[in-house]
Amino acid sequence: MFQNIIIGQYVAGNSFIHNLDPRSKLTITFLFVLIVFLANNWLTYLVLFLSVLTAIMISKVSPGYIYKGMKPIFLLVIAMFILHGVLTKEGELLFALGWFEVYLGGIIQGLFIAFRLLLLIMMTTLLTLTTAPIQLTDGLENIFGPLRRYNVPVHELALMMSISLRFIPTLLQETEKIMKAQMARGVDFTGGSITRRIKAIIPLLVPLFMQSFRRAEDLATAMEARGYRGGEGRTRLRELEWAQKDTVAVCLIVAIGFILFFLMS
Amino acid sequence: MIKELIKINDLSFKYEEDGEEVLRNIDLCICEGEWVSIVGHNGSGKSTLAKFLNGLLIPYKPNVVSIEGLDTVNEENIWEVRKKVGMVFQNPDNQMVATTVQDDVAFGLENIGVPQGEMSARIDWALKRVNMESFSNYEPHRLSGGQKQRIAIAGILAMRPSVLILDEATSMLDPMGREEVLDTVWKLCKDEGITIINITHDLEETVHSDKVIVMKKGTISIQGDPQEVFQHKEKLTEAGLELPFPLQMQNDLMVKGYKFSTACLTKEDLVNELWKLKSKI
Amino acid sequence: MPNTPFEHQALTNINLNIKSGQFVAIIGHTGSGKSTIVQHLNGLLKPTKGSIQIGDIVIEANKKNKDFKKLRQLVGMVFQYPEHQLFDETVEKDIAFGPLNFGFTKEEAFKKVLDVLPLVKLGNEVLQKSPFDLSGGQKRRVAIAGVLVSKPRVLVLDEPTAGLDPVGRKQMMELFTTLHKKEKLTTVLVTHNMEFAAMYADLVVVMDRSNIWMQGTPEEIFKSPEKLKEIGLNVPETVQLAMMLEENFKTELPKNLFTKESLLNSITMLLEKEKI
Repeated sequence: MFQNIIIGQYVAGNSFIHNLDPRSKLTITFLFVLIVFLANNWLTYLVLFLSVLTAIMISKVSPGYIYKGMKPIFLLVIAMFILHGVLTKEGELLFALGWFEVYLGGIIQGLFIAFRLLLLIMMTTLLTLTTAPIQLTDGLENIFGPLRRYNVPVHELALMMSISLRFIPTLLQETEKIMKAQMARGVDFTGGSITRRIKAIIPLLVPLFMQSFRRAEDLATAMEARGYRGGEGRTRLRELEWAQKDTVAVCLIVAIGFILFFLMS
Repeated sequence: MIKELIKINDLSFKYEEDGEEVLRNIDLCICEGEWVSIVGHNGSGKSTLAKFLNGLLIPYKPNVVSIEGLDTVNEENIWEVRKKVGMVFQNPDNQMVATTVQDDVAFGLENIGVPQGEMSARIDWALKRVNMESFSNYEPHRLSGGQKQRIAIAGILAMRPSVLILDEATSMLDPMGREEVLDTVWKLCKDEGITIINITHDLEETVHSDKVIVMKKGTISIQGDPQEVFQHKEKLTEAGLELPFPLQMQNDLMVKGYKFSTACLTKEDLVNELWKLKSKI
Repeated sequence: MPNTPFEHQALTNINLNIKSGQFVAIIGHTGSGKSTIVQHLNGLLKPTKGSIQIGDIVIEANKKNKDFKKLRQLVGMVFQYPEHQLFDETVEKDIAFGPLNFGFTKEEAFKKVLDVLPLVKLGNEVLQKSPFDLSGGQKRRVAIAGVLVSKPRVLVLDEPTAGLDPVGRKQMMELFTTLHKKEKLTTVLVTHNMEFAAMYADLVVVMDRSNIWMQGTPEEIFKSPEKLKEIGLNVPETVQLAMMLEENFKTELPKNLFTKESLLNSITMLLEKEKI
């Protein structure tokens, strides 16, 4: 049932984008989110769209994967479009049915918002497709490292994140096993009313929790036995290296930001 | 001269203040390069004993447990002790921390602050010792139980320990995985001179050891080399253990009145002994 | 999961007949398809081609089947480490879980719980305890009771002795063989243990890479160690020893020495024969 799920949807590759430092990729994605909010006319959206397309092409990730990443969000995009389309009452009146009126300005506004959302999703999907989860954690730990001074447990949070990633497949296998065992005892997970379905979940959740607690305990002992004692004095197998190409990439996104600043109306 | 690595002097322990003693007056000495088996039924205290050997549990008073001369009661020694004594646990799924094999092997090295430049070489070396060098980018959930345990061993090996403890590390494996793990560890003992402490409830795993320690209700009930220990058949059965198959057969033959000169630990031994019996006749 | 990059054929061209009342052992390496086969027996997995018949229930590929509840009541399944499926507040409720799902009333279900306890050698004093407060061995017995309580006619055991010590393994197998005889069950045992297969089974099925490598009586299977060695499996220890004796003593021994007693007899005969 679950054993072959790809976690974090990372697709290994060797493109320019794959090889960027996770910190530069995170910075770029963050800046992109800010820049998207500058866009407010057709030209600016076109520039952004072309930039994202170029990035996807450089990454050599098949567009099918990007599409798959966006699919769950489509409903939200359409909802945003309709909401803005109906509630914005500007420009020429296109259509009226009693209190229900649609204006040209509304349609345009709706399209812009939907488009903005799509661009954001494309960019973040590209980030997760080209960056291994462990690199993302490393990048985040490094970027937020300075917060340690304010007693934010950055290292511990990053470790928690990577351990969760490690155990998701194990947990899915476990879920499948317990589901089957309870089905063999006559549980029907798919049929029946909502209350019956919720009730059917308990025999699945309780064993899963019990197992996870045991795992956590075992893991803590094993980590201690292997000399773990927090972030102090630890070295790392994967040192992050900020290369010239990272500087170039960040400069590029800043440049796009400036272009947009001049093109916006 | 043979070096004494681990020395335990009159160790007693209970988990709760008013609880039952899990360990009682344990005296023990383990030498460098030995293969030591600690056997016993569930609740005999064998796993608790193991936890004292790398500072996961700490005795109440000084001069009870010392590892290469380091007294574990001293908190500053604990990290040094954990570098020297590595431990593989029972459940293969619950010891891997990282999302890939090489990152997991690196975990211990990162903990003890090995410089980054040295790590790759150490990881490669360790993975080669356990025959897993082609798996370095694998995710843990794509490995079999035996493979996971070998990765756990590699993770310890990379830290260059002197002692490797297997805490029932084969009990959840299929026969093939078990053989993989035991073969790997056997080679480490013979080729790298690493001291092995195998904690198990399977007497069959103990027949090739240098020393067998039988635990019963928190005390050491027998210790010695396999030949000596397997003389005490009643004591072994009392401890809730099952004799290896060749010994069971020998036992039954002895009941029928046949006389043997030694304890037959392997099938080969038994065939040889039977051959001797026959020639005498 | 069809139509994904990970689709693979887990089983191919399996033909297997199990007679009512038989004790069947399925042996093979991890990943050889043993567990996959048995999960077809109660409809947890459905065939993509072919059909499976259990009693008068037929599961066919590409056909919706509504008899799953009936089937799962008929075929009880004990998974590996069954104690991991315990969840309810008390042992009594946990064991009664199956019958309640199968449509029995509370009174009937709790009555069945009382009946099943002695079968797994547990006393009534555990009933009101939380299953999580029991020892490892007791937990497993409770979980097994939770399967037996629905009175299955077919009992599927997937590595029921995994993780137990040798003494515990023996007790567990004794429990199942007694049940098999007493309740006249059809038992399907998935195991790595050749000794169990040899001692208890009427039919041994050897699996390798999604296929049935060979099937037959224990005598038929274990008389040809070469064929088992090809796929990395071994014959039972009694047979191994018998073969070593045959080679060293240049003699022939019976092929069905699966118990210590029968081997012992053969050895004494071997020694006595020389005496005369």
